[in-house]
Amino acid sequence: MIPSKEEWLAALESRHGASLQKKLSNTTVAICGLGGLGSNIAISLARAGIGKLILIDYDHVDITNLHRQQYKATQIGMPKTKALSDNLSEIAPYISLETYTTKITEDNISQLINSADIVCEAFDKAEAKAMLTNYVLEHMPDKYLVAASGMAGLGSANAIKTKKISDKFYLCGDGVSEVSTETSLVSSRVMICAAHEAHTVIRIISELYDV
Amino acid sequence: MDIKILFEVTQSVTSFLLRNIILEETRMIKINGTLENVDGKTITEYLKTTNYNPKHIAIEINGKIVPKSTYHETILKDGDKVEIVSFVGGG
Repeated sequence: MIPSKEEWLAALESRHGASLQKKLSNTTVAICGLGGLGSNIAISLARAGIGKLILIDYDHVDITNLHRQQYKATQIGMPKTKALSDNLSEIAPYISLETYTTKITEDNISQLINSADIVCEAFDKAEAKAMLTNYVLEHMPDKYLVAASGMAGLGSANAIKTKKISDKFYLCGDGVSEVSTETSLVSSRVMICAAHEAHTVIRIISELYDV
Repeated sequence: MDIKILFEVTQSVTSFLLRNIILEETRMIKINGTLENVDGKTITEYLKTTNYNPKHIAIEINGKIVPKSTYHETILKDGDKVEIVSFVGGG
């Protein structure tokens, strides 16, 4: 038996205060890529009572994802959008979700994320990260963009930082640790970077714009 | 006569200092926090001197994104503050 919507909101307000919770409830965040970063960002934001998430990924859950991404063994083979929506709905039953099982390209970005207030870049490939960043900064200057670069390997947790690059552009990560044949992604360090992104989103919503 | 020579020498020394030290110093461009003497180069020309993969980067000058299609015609100017974000894979 899940709590009523009123009980749910009252619990969030008791934690965040009514004023901040109202801002969180009224915000839409687009999460571009639902891997180690995106699935963790989504869960953080859903728990924090964000009003709406736009979830975008073309991929399916693979057995090799499960060491760091927020999916379950029973979800292997499902589109990540569907699997994550199911998981988020169990965690935060009143969140509003919009999903797109498609590859984000320069041709469809604007229609996919148009209604978002804040955009999280959570891709795996450097080229896709740069493409989304360039597009949003160039064509959607009203939106906040929170991106990530450098979180692979067993480097120190403390090397992961959030930098404010310009007025509405934040970058999380250590900037250098990339995935290679010798270095792969480790769940805890990817989660730290995802938490940096999610926390930056929550700070922006709280009108705390510095890092 | 001597005073005139002294005056000319002083003047040329001053202009030399102005040109080569004071002005030169202000014709620097800050790229990711480091001062570099690349005044007058286009972004494309500058990138050729670096190891950046053009497909992995986003560039802001004085807080404004530079569209990739304009790299070849965007000239780095005295006092510009340039941020080059170079993405690495993983997520």
